Amino acid sequence: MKKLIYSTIIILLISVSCSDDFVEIPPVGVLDASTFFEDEANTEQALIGIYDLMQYNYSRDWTAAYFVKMLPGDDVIAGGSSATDQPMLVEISEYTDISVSNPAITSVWNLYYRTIALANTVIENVEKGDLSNKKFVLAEAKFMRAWCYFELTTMWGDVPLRLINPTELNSEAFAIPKSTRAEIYTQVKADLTEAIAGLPTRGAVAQNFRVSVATAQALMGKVLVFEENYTEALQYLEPVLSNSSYYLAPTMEDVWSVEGEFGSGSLFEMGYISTNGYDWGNVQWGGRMESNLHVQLMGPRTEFDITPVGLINGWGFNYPSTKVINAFKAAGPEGPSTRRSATILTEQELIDAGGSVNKSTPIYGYEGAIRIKYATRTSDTSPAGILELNYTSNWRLFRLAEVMFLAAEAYNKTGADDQARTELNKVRLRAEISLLDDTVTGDALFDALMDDKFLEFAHEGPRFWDLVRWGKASTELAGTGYSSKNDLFPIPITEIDLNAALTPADQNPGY
Amino acid sequence: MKIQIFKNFLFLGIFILCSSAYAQNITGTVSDMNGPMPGASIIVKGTSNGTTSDFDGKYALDNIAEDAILVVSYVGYGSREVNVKGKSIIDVLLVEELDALDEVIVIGYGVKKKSLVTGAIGSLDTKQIEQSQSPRVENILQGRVSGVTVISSSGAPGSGAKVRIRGAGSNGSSDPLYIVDGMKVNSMDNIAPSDIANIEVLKDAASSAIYGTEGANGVVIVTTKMGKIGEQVVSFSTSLGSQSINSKMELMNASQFVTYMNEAGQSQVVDNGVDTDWIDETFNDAFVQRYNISFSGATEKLSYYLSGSYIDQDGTVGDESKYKRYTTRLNVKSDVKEWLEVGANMTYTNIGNSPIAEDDSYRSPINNMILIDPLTPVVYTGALPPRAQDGVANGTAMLDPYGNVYGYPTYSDGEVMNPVGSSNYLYRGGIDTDKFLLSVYAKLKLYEGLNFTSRLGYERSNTFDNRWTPAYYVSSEAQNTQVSLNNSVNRNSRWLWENFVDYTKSFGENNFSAIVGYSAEKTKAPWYYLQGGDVANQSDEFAYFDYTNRDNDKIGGSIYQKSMNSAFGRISYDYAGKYLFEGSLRYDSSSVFPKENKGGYFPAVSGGWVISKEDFWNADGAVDYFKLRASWGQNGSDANLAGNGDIQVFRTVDGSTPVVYQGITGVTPGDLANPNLVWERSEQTDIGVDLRAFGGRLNFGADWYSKITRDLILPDGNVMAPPSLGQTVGAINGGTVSNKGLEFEAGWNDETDSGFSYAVGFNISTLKNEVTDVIVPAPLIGAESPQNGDGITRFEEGYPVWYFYGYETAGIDSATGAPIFVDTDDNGEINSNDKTYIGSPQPDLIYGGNIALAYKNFDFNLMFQGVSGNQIIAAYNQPSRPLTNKEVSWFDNRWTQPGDVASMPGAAYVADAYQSDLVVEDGSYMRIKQLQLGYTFANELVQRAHLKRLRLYISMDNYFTFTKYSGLDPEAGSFEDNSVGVDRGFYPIPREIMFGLSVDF
Repeated sequence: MKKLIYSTIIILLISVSCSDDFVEIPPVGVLDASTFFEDEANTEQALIGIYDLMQYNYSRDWTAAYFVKMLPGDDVIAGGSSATDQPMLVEISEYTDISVSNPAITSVWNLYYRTIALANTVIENVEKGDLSNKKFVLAEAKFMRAWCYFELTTMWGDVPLRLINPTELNSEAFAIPKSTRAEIYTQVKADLTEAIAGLPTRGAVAQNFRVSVATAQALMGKVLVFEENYTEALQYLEPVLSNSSYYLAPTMEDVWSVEGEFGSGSLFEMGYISTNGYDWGNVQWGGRMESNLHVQLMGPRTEFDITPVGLINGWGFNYPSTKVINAFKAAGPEGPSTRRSATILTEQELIDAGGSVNKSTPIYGYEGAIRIKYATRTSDTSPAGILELNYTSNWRLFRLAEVMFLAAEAYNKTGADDQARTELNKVRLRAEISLLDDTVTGDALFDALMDDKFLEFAHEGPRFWDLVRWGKASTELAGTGYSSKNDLFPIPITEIDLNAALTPADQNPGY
Repeated sequence: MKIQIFKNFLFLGIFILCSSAYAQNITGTVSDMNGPMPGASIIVKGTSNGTTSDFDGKYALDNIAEDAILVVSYVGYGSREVNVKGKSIIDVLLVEELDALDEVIVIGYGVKKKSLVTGAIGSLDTKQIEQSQSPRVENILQGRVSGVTVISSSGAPGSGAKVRIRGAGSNGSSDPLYIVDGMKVNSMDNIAPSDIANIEVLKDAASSAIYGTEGANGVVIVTTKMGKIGEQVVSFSTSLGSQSINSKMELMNASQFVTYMNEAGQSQVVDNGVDTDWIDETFNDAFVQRYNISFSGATEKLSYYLSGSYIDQDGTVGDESKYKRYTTRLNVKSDVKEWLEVGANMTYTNIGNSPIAEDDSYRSPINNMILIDPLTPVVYTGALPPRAQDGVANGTAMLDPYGNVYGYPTYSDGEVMNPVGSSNYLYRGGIDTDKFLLSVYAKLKLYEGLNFTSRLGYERSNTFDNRWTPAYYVSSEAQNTQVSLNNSVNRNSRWLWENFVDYTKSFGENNFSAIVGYSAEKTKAPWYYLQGGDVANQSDEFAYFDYTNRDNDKIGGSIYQKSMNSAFGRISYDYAGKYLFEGSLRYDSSSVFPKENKGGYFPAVSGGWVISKEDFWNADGAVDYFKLRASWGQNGSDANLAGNGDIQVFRTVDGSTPVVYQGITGVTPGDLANPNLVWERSEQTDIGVDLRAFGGRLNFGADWYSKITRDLILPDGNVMAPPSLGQTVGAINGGTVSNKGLEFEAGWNDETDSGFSYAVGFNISTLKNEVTDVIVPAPLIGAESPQNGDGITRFEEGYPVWYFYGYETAGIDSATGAPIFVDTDDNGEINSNDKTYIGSPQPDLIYGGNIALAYKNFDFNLMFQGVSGNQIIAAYNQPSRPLTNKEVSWFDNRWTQPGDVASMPGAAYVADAYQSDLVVEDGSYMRIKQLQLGYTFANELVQRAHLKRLRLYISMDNYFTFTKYSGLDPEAGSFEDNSVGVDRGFYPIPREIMFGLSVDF
């Protein structure tokens, strides 16, 4: 009997003694961050992660940065099945009571900061080490950080400038006050300076989607134009204009075709592919998809028979406005290679092409034309999955034409109208509209620039933010719900609530 | 499997027969105060030799040794031991065990006399369990134990319920810990209620602290049946019946809908002569059948219980929603040696079900049933409209079994589909789950009063989800243009090994017992998911991955693992059953916490004073038992954490989406490391009294408790991260929740001289739930509703857990018909900052009661249950789809013209109202859970048929509900922890009418 008692005790002791190891379970499927940056290949993976977050932000289903940035512009109607389909998008487009908890605005803000945080991690770790690709990795990460901060300050003004990520998990560690737009610009330019020093030329980039030194130069020029530092801006823009690796594609149709992706006039582009072959069962609503789901949102709804023009029905967002339709009609004719036909398709043109519109009930947001730029083309999706869910359309985030407009703006503002006209006419020539002659100068030239940029970049996003910085918003947007409070988006309420360094007084004016 | 059971049974039979006998013959009569007792067991102690008394209480035993001892027993009576001493006639008088206080109840790692219990423990016996028609244990608890809230999430066949013991203590899962025969289990759906002997609910911390982890939300201990000495019983029971939906909900009819839509400016909506009542069309009457059979018996050294059960329940929605469950169980226990007892409880269960979607604001037949316009026909009878013609041509039309095309919504658009069509057509394939639960133990009797027990539990479930979706097209938001297979394979297993020593000793009036032990457990749950399509033929026969064209095939999978070590101990002491004391301590070390914080200590103490045993107590007074008790203790919870949250990592997959850009794999940062995560800890104080009076006819118990849960684990720490943090945050300790309440249980039972017996029981509990601290200065946003960025439930300091959030209204503007929102921040404008508290899903009062009557061979039982003071918020309305139907009060009470004083807004302002208190309603209800009338056949008749007992009954379950709620079912509750009381469209609880038979032979 005693033996039994002893063995009992021994069993218990053995069990207890092995307890420490027993409750250690290694994590599955993850890479330890403490040793991750000791390897060149890993740092490159982290860079891909940055691109992937950008891709996510720009196409996240109903809250794509691509669309949110564009919505306040007068070229775009939010659309959807009705005014109450996506109020968060409609309220931005119509400037009505934009909510401080607007989920689309919050998502875009958050995903820029997520991209920035990953860039911060890469920069912090790679700077400490001495990897062979150190210079390149830092340059690319800093470019991305600069891009995100520039977009943030454009849309929100003064924003928190996080360059070092908190490592502690508490409210004090997370707290950070806003920095002024000037401070943000200073940091953006500092990052771009290093990016320019470390990025390869276009011919030397490893993959076509990667940014080159010209992309960083162009962005630097853009920042300087936004700062109204035109002379310095031209020092960065001119090398891009004269860079033989970049030239305008012959027609606008070429720019928007799948074949034209990462084309000669593309400085920075978000790529989308269809290799995942999503179907309705595995589509990642709100998730990081490889295909461009946002394109499906923007397809005309089933009231439109658009099969004859090679399009697929979508969910009715992002219609052209009457203003942009009329401006296109006024600017020049339609035609297979014109800019107008590469951007919009009027109802008559649709009917002429064999399509139709069923207007028995009002089509919310439709003002007489559908959008052809970034359209739901059958040819741009993959039959390997569900057509609606596998668009491969890339977002052309930064085109050479924009550099031409920025340079023209800088020339015009510095009195070099001849050079300004030269740049504008390059674009007008391709658009197949009338060229500017040397009678157009000064403010008139600037107005021509403004009007043509409206058309060239319709449905691309810069319009509203240009109007704001030019001081033209109140005139161009007269008659809409616009007021000066709309010059900036509201800071997400969760930022003000949860960032202990901010108070309600830090909210942008009017919200 | 059947062969295996048969073998086991055969083996047992042989085992029982192996015994020897000799010497003299004995006869006698067993009787009680009322006369001879048939069916009493007479066993020769230390052998398996024995018999049972016949109808006249007589028995006979041959070849009994002169010095043998007879053990005579009968259920509910004290057993007696009689020395043979050479006698040949031995008559035995058995005395009924009248004192229910001598009943023992199961506590953690042991049993205890009810009279000596110092904690708050609710208890259900076999009889109460048998009465319930519920196939699941969770539902049996409903209304039967004070302080226990049971929210049936759904009336879908086989679906479970949320059990909350003394309120929701957490923002996340507040499920209690379930223990079956000593084994910690993940789910209870594999336990047939007919196999359960008793259920104990440990409510206070002192009772549950011995379980440390996961005990924070209370513990439910289930003990399954075992054979009883002297009875070799075969029991069979069956019930057959019909389920139907009896909802109060009424939707607008066609003409009301047309009027309403026209008033809303939707002039295109015109009456087309169709008027479909979608609630009527969607719900069907459904058949249900249940069968149980068990074989049990015991000798002095061996007892066994073998059973099987089968449930076949059709859903009330659609033709394909079904639930089938087979269970089989074998429990054995044997005193192998004088010093060794071994036992095993084994159950194998197979569950097949094919659910439909619910709890979804966009895509489910129930939600669509409420939303779809009444101008849509269920099926087309005449010529097909163009949409349907296209659908038939493209193979994307939904067809009924006769080839008719299900109606496409005439006006409703977006995600809205024909609910009859979708419930019958879309949900293909099913889920097949095998569950195995085993608990084996050996108990060594080391010394008098000293035992060592080693117990090993193993739980395993294998789930094959073989569902698929056919091709259909209703709108661009409701479509699946090719067949897609969505399968998954899950295996969940856990072993738990416990070793403990217990010791009991008495010195005079001092009674002392102690237990000390150690346990280890490990959970392993690998899973795979498989998605794919298209297939050549849209049928079950092609719904396998070998037959897809491989274009969209995808696989994924991973594993979840968790392990824990624990040491625990408890000391109990009482002096003469008068002064009671108990103390316990548990140490748990869990893999899911950071390296530095893996362990946690959980102490508890409790005491009791049985005042009625004091000399000064008037023993002849009305009150014959009176006990005061008090307890304090702490419990923990690891809230199913994933573990390793203290390590900063990179992932190549975000959720289930690979981090790939342009075909190149990248990484994404994991959650911000949290090395400071600690156990969620709840501390509870309980003061109670137990009282019995009038010769045991009156029973009364009352408890006051205060339970404070600190360091709540929020699984999603992003709630504390400003969006500019740019990093995701995993689990954090996030706040404090307080639950306070009073619980009362009272019962009265008596029998008149004429043989009429009755018992009335009632329990009522109050509950006050409040979040007292949140880690961040801002509220946490919980449940979402369509197009509402602010969320409709929130977790905020000073409010109940996940209260409802929205605009408060002050009537309807009589000039415009718009709802008037209250400007809560007084800044002169209405915006989302004005949203505020508009209701709470937490009831103030929960109650239940029972009335049992018996006269001669008839018995009658009524059970009711209810809650009061809670609200329900409707989240099925779709602001983005204006052409959708509504509950009829939107029409009846609407504003129509200037000057109207209305309670509901004009049709044009309906979407505004969806974010206001106009969609919040009183969720109080009282439900007659059961009305059962039974007839037990007279003994003479039964015996002539060689039966022991035969009872027939008719039972009406969930038949009557009293509520003001205008939705489908006031018991609606979401599966999500942050969505309790959020009605997105649920499968209502069907009422049942059942005919049953139970027979013992």
